[in-house]
Amino acid sequence: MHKVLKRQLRRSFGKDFESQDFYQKKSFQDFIEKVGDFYQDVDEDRKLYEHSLKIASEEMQEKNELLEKEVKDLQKVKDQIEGLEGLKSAMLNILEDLQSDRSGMEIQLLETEKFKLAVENAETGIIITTPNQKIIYVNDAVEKLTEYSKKELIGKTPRILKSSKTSAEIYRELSDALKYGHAFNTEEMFNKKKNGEEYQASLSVYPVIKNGKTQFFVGVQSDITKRKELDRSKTEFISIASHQLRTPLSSLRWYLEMLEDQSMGDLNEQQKEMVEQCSESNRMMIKLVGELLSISRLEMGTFELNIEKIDLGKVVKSVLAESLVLVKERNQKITFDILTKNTKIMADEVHCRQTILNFISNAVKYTPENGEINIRLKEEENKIVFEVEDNGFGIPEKEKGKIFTKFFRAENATKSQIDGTGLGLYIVKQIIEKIGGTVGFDSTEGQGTTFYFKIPQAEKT
Amino acid sequence: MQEETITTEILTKKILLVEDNPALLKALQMRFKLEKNYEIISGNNGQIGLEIALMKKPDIIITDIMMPELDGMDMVRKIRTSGTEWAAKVPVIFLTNKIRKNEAFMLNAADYIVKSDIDLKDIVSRIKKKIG
Repeated sequence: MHKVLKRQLRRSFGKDFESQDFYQKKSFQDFIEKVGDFYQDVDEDRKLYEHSLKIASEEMQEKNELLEKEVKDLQKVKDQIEGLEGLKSAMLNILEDLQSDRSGMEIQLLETEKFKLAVENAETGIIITTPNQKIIYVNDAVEKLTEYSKKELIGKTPRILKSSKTSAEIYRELSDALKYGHAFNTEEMFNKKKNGEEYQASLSVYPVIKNGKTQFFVGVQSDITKRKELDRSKTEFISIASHQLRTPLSSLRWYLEMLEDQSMGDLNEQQKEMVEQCSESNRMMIKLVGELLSISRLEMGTFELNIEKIDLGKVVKSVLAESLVLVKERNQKITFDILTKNTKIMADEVHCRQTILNFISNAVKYTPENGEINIRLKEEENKIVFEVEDNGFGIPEKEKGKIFTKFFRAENATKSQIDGTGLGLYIVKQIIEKIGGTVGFDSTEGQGTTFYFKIPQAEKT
Repeated sequence: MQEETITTEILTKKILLVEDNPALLKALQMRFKLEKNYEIISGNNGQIGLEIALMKKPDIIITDIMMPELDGMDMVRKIRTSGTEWAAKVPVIFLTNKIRKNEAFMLNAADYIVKSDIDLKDIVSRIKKKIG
């Protein structure tokens, strides 16, 4: 009997179910047999099922392994593909880089070409030489300017253009500059063309230095003969015009003086006022014409100095006496101290007066009413120093470099509508330097300015 | 020949003015006329100036330099070398815009005045310094 059936019978009828009556019955025996067969069948079916399940699971596993393998293979392929992608983008990057390099190089080539064209076609002559001045390049303009061909110039030195009209001093300055590797600029260079004709050149020479060594020199020049001639005729014109103006201006001055001092008869108040205005304008014109004449003389090289031994102390005193009227008009306080015994210098008296007057009248003009002006004469390393200190506007920092240039006027001076031509200090500088002295100033804007000149003392005799 | 006698008084000082510009000459004459004891004679170029000077022997000569015929410098040179005591000593003041100061003092000039920037009263005071 199937053991599961037996267990169930026991559980239902007790352990001794075999001895019970119903069990003995034939019909029950048949029934039990059938149930037992059924259990048997079930067992067998189960076994079969389990067997087939076992077989199936084994196949599944096999298949699974296969699949896993395939997945792994696929992953590998995928990895490989990804690797290839990376390579591709790397390649693309390289290609891109190469392309941009190439266009960079093209741009560079274009740049170089641009510079070459610029130099080649420049209107000014450009010469490049080795450090020992052998010409290695000239542009078209040099050919045109000098009438030498490039062939004739390459390998030569720029001295081939040398003219005796250039002063020895200019050549000396040039050779010094070249020797020390400095730049050099001049407008006083005369060069000679192939046919012997001379021209005035503006010349600028500069070294090209790399790693601390001069690689070559570049010389840039242009023909300024015409411009210089024009300058000269302009200067001459100013000179003649100013000269012609002097006599009529003097005559006006003298007649106005006689009217003003009423030596020829009394004037009424209005007439007096009118004459004063005329006189004032006349004086301004005389001053301007004098300045223009000085400038034209300085520029033409016809400025003459009458150098003699003069006592600067006396000159300052006399100029100061003349200026006191101006100072009084503006209620300013003025002092004058002579701090040295020997105030004798070798100079031109007329022009010294002019510079002293310029310093003093500037101080008066640019110092407010009730301001203070201190004038001193002192000694400094065998030089006489004349200085005028004021507590006026002062000179703006950014304009300090231009004070002695022609026609320059400081911004704060023009703003305050103070009359001036911008010629005075330019002339002063030229005159003092011609005498052998130096000029300068110290200034703080809003506090005041001290202008000074220094001239060597005359030998004590 | 241009010659003018403006004032003549006893104890006068004879002043010779040589100037070619009529306006300037007239202004100087008018101003000097105010000085009571001055007798003014004048010429409008160096040649006339020289002739008047030698004839009238003025107490002082005031002269321009740039003039037609004979310039002021040459006029004074001729006067100085004319041989009389007066000619060697007569004070000469140059009144000019020219810059020939050194040359002027070689001719023993008494003064050298730059014309372009001076008042008449200052010219008069500088003349007075020389002749009182």
